Amino acid sequence: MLSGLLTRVEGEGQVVLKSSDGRVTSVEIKITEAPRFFEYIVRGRRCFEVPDLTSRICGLCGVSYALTASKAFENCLSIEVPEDEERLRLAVLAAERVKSHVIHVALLHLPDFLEIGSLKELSESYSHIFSKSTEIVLWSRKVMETLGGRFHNVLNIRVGGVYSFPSASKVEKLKHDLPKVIRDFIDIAKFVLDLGSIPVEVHRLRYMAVENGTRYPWVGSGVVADDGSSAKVEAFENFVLTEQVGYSNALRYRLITGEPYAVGPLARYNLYYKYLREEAKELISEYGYGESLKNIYQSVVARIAETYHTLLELKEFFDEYRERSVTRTEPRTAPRGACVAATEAPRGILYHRYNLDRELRVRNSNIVTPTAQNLASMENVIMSKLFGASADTRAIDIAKRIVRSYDPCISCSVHLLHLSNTQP
Amino acid sequence: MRKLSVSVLKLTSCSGCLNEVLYSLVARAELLRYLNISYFTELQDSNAIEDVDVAIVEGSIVNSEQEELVKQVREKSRVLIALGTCAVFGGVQSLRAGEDLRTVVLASYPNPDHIKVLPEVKSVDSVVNVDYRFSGCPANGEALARFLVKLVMGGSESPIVESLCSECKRKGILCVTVFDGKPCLGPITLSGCGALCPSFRRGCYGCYGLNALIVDREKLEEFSKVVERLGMSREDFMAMLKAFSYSSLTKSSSSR
Repeated sequence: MLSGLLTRVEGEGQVVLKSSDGRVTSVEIKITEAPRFFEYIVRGRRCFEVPDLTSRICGLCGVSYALTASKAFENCLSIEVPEDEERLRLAVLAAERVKSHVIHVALLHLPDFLEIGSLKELSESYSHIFSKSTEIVLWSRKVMETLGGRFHNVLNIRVGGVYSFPSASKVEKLKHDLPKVIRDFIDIAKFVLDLGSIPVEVHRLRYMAVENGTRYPWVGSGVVADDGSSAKVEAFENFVLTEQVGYSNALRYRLITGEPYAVGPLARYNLYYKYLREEAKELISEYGYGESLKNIYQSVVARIAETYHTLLELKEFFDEYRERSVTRTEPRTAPRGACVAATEAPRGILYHRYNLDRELRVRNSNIVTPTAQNLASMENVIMSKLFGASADTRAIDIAKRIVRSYDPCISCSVHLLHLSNTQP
Repeated sequence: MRKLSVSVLKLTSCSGCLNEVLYSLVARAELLRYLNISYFTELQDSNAIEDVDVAIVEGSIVNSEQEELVKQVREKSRVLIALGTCAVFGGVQSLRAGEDLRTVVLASYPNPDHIKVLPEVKSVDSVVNVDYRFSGCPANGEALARFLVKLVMGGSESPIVESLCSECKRKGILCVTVFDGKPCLGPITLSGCGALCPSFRRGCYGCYGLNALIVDREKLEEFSKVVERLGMSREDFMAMLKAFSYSSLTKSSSSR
């Protein structure tokens, strides 16, 4: 048995290759991160406090958590969010996607393509790329602080809308720096793509994303898989299979057929390529990437296209931004059925379900995270490449690279919620 | 100037504070020249935890392996920093502390046998001595960056212990309780965030933890009645305290 600590990923995990006569026979992605029991934590809490608590599931994508929880309650309590407040919240979500993708592409994943192992080496040997990427991360931090209150655990998202609108002059400053951010990002993208070291092999991948009408996906009323099969958000828990394995602190998910599936940038890209901005398509088409990506390593291409697309969406938001006062929004009905919502977090579908009592306190809940959905797919791709291969450190390195291509967020995958589908 | 060796560790947490470490390294790029980062799995390929000048620890302790790990790290570091509300107070996962463990685990897992955790959620300083504490959910990366610069220069941090209200006053933010009638935990919460919630016209919910230097049990009781009159039930108030100040609640009833 060979194992390797997962590095340059969020959280604690290991990849273990089992072997017989020196040949790889199976793989286990062990999630050793300690559980925090969020399902229990939110039990008994008023729904209005829940976004601030679930945002703590993830230090990388807390906006997605806060927003998904808020939307779940808005759906079941018939709360109408004013359009301007919704746009502001989606802009914070967009900034989070930029931040998360740039950190992954330029700081965590790039060392794989350069065959180096540390941030320090990156900062010394590729200082021009390092400094451009850190400038973008710092700018995205300013966007999140200005619109959402802070970089992690944003505080300007509530059930029903936002707490306040930032001043137009503050937003103007973000807008002022955007052209340079876009130029820097294009330089980084070209540097990564010019390396020519993204593998071209074909992986058999199933994938899924939220259904989002005619827009590149953020929030959806349902989910859709690569074969066109789809389900309303309310039916998501019956659209996938859930399993628990003894070697991992994270639950895992499969398609109803038993096949593993991937979520995240590659799934969104392949399902919604036509809704990407033309500028983003052009940037990657120069390198031969078109409407479908062939393997999980190419997720980096999807992240690049999505980041550019999202920066342009943010530009539009800044251009049209006007400071307003917030509207008081209240529940208009008692909770009707389960409170559900699904959004596209940076790493893919994030699904929340809460059941509320009459006092609007949580009775039980279920949160399905992107990384938990990706675990079975990671193992599947690793096995398709390494089954029968010589069980050595090179095999471990390949396995780790595959895992890293999914950009796993391990803390998220170990929050772990309810399975028994109890309805009130 | 001698380089400071640093290891950065994660226990039970969300990595939000580790990202503040990343931020401080990115925002003060010169720091990377003076630090030798020996262990930081989120950022680089690392293997063993070695002897270092500074260990930065994120997260709380919920199993015996983490307890052993943090003891080892203490032995191998000159200065140990508890970073973030989880490390300093226990963090949101403390909401399940002291509850029936089987109920807690079953709420999350169909098969509870594989899941090994302690019934308690422990702050880092309840297991080892801690030299510096940076609470906050997440901790303030700007403050951490300034601190690391001072350490590199051979100086040290002199902590300021004050309540969040001081920050509102310095920044000229109108009091959300006085002017908007909203419940706000600012008077009993440690400063350090820059009064973020009040600057967005919402009450503080205490994520930097209890200012236990000035707030004892009796004052907490009085304060709970104040926020109750403003619409925050005692149950909800106690839940927020447990979520972000757990270890100080348990300490104030013990002899520490």
